[in-house]
Amino acid sequence: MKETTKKILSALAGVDSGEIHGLALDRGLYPEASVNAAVEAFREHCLFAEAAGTGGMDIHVRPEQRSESRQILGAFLNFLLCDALSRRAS
Amino acid sequence: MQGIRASTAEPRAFALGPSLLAVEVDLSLYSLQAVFRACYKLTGRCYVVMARTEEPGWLTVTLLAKTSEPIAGSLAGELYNELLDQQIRESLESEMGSVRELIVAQAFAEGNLLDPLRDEGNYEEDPLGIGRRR
Repeated sequence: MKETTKKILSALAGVDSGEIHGLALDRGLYPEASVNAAVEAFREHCLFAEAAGTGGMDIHVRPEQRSESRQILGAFLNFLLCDALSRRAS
Repeated sequence: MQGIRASTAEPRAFALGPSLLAVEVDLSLYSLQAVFRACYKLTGRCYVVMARTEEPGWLTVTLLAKTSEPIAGSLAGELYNELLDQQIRESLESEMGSVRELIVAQAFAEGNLLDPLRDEGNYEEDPLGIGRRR
């Protein structure tokens, strides 16, 4: 298994508890504009921070919405993918 | 048996728990655009993250189940099938795209785009030489 695969699996291991730690979003795949758009769209559901040392992103679902953590974090990830794909197409 | 050897290739799909699956994709086989499109098609059934690996020419696609129910074991296989489908679509587009555009353009055009004289030429002048003796 490649190191990147391990890091991503590890980052996503905490989705059900409302946390993604050190998610490295590859800017060659997800442009800055897509990341900004996704962060903006999910700001009312999540708290975003830069992960210490790794350059990745820490995402925490707001406590009052923790029961829907997986759906919120997953929707964030799919939003990113769709936005990145639409920007590539244009 | 000569000519047939046991495969030593590493497995390329890895599960972490029942609802998280990572698939490593060889970009020498599939274009980045094909991978994007294949991943997009799976977004209705799972959550998807892509990342290029430290080894050039490889990409990791991580699939997260939409509920904490176990992710379907066949999803990795479906991703591979979808990758193949998208790659073939892309190849066909580059081979036949210009022909398709011409057919569509001809369907909406009033005259003959390939041979305007065929429809609009003056029969008395016989520009195609149809009445000429051979």
